[in-house]
Amino acid sequence: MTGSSSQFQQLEKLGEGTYATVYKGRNRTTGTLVALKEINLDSEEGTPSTAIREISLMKELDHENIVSLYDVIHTENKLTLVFEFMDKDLKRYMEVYGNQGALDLKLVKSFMFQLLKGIMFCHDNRVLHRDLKPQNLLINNKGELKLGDFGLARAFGIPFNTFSNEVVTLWYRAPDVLLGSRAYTTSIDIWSAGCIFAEMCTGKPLFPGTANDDQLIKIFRLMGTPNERTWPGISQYANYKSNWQIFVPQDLRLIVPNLDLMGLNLLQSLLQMRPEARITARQALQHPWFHEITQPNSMIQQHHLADPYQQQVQQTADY
Amino acid sequence: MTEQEKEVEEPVPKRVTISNDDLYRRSTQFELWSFTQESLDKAKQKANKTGQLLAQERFNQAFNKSKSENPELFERYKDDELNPQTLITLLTYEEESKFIQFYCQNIVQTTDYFRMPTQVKLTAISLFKKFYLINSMMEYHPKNIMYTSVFLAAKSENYFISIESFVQRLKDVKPSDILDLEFKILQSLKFTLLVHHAFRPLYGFFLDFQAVLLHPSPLMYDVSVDTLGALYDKAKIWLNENAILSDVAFLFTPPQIALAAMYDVNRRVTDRYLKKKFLTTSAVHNDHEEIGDENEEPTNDDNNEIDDQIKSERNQYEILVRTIRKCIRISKQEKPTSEESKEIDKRCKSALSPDKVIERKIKKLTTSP
Repeated sequence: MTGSSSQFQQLEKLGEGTYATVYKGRNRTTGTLVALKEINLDSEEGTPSTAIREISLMKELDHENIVSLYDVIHTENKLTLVFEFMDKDLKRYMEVYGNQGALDLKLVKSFMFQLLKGIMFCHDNRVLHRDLKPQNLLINNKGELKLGDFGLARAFGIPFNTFSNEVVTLWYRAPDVLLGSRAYTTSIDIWSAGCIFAEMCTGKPLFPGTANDDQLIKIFRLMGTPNERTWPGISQYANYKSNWQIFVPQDLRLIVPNLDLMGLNLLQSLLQMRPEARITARQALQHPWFHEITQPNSMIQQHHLADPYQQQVQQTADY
Repeated sequence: MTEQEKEVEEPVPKRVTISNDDLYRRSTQFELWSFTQESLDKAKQKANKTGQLLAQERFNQAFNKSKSENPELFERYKDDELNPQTLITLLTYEEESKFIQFYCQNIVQTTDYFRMPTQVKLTAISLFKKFYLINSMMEYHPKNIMYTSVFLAAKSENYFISIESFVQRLKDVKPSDILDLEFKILQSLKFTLLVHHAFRPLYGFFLDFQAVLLHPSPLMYDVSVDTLGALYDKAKIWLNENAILSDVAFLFTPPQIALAAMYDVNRRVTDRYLKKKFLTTSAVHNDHEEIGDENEEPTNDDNNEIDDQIKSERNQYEILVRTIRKCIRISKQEKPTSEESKEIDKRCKSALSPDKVIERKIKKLTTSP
């Protein structure tokens, strides 16, 4: 960590974040491409706390599905984080390579698997990402997907800290957070993963809400309006309303028609309204939809699970 | 590396999963900031040595400059008042260590004064101590390093306080005093600000003590939820009074420190817990009074294997207790008094500003008859 900024040649601008600008860069000696995240320090408060937390968390998270932080460089009035270079974020990737945004299912499977592995590693290390969205998932030309932008991430533990609920871009925000929960946990990242899953399949954001309430209604329209019976304790949430319009749950097949039934089953497990009912990243990675990746040679396994309805029955029978 | 003896806690899971120990070993706290007593002393000595060299250089410059300005005076007093050997102040490694401890007490006072959460206090102490494993007080006076550590810890632990309102309530500190040091500290710490403290595992042990000692039925006639609650509260106080000011965080893992607190507060209960937790085989096969019904007669074939198992459990348990006792001993090492610290502070300032020391001396020599 002793780099100087002259060590890198600054190339084109890649994007602008909430507290930083990201440029493509090239190491002058090795020629390696990097992403340079420049943070202005002329703020009165010194290094922004978002940057401090991002740096300290990235130092702990060394994983193939999490963007690597190579170096931190300090110059007069800015701080530059040097990250491994990734070609595109997922949003852009879908625009460029998707069929009207929709990706091939094989690719969706690979990306989902990598996304969940990255999430699992964060959660194992007691870190919540809290802001998962296509713009924060980075893809390189080897087809590797990595989690980036940990500016809103937080270390958590038991008992859970209460966080402000002003996190996560609205569209990927979990219903419990929208309802005002301040004690949320790893399950909020899982909800976001579910939204991203559907979006990769269809090319369109699943719940493009415009405000907190609109976001909730968009979710209810598809998942059904929750009540005390379907979600015990929901009336205790700060943003609970007794006069919500009643929607019945829709069949996810209608929304994501190109996804096979096994995939729909996984999607359903990720998009559970009640946070405690949501599958964990570890469980999701063992879902039969991924057997193609996890057990590539096991033909019997695939055949056995060919009928997802049977699978569903089996799963319920286990309880 | 460190006292990593405590290993086997749970039966090996069927699926390949990552244990909490593995997770801890991957943390920067373990990779970069865990030491043996010897390697810790070495790091401190190295920082001290570097500081002495810097102070020596600084002194030489000031001395030569002053000497060239007052050649006669320096010639006249060269063997006594203006002898460089007696004029120079260098802090010893022991002095620096004491002064660090003293400043940790100041951090506690500062964070308490601002009513900051415990987590901020603990992280601030950790950042401060780590800084002085790399740097010397003969280069950076601890006062502003302390405030910057607190300010950085607050940011890192998401407890927002603006620099203005922070500085306003401190004496003789400007925002730039703190902001100018931010990066120096971040860099010295290699940007690792995430710290695992003993308080979280302490809470975990509090829960596990209840599970192990009270369920399905109480194991000890005088132990209840209330007595365990009191033990937990006392252990927290113990950590605050002993562990957090000492070097144990560099030498032991957070759960070891938490157990040390509980062991020192109530040895009988904690030891019972550890035995129940670790000596599972011998409990089943030897300790008849403890678990009467579950006792099964071992067949002869099993005996050897069981003996080995018992031996290895016993060994594990003894290593852990030894580690805990060592942790207690180091935690409770004497803390410096404020008189001692005042004296060191004076010497620290002399080491940092030799020009002022020489100036004062010259003034004294030229004004007194």
